[in-house]
Amino acid sequence: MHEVVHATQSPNFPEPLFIHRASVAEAEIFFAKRFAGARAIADANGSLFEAFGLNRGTILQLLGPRALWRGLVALLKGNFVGRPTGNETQMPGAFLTRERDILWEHRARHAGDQPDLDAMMKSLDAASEA
Amino acid sequence: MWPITCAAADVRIRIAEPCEIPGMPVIDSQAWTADNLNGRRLAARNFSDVVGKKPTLLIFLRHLG
Repeated sequence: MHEVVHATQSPNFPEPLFIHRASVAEAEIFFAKRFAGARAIADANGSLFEAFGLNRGTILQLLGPRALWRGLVALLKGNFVGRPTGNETQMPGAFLTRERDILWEHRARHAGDQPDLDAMMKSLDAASEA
Repeated sequence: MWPITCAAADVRIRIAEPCEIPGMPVIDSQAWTADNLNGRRLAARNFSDVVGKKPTLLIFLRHLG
């Protein structure tokens, strides 16, 4: 989240659209503090997550050593885990789209697996040149 | 005039959507046609209009925290 907020200051960075499984009211509180200008869709029933193939995580994906390590690193950076919203087993992901085309995708391998934004930007550059 | 797509072998199928570029993944129709969306700072209620024509980074959050 912090990386994306920072990256949006780059002039060529695509406009982010967040999708989450919390309520509109919960998201309003969350984004107002962190990214006031963010667009976000409340997908409480998870139908958009499902359509993009993002499922619930396994125990290993959620609580395995890699996920715990990333959680510890995030904690040390000051990124604390927020209040539970009821869908903590949902796996995250990111997709770069241009209209209906998917130019790049990141499907988290574990709960702490973050997208490589540099790789995403390279895909955008390559698609722009094509 | 319906666009003719998916001309595999000698089979030609008439469908309502334009032909997709082979190998290029596209947003699933379940998501693309989703409507009555709720959220913040959305200019539309249906997914295709929210995504629009410019490059967009869709970020699916595991939780808000």
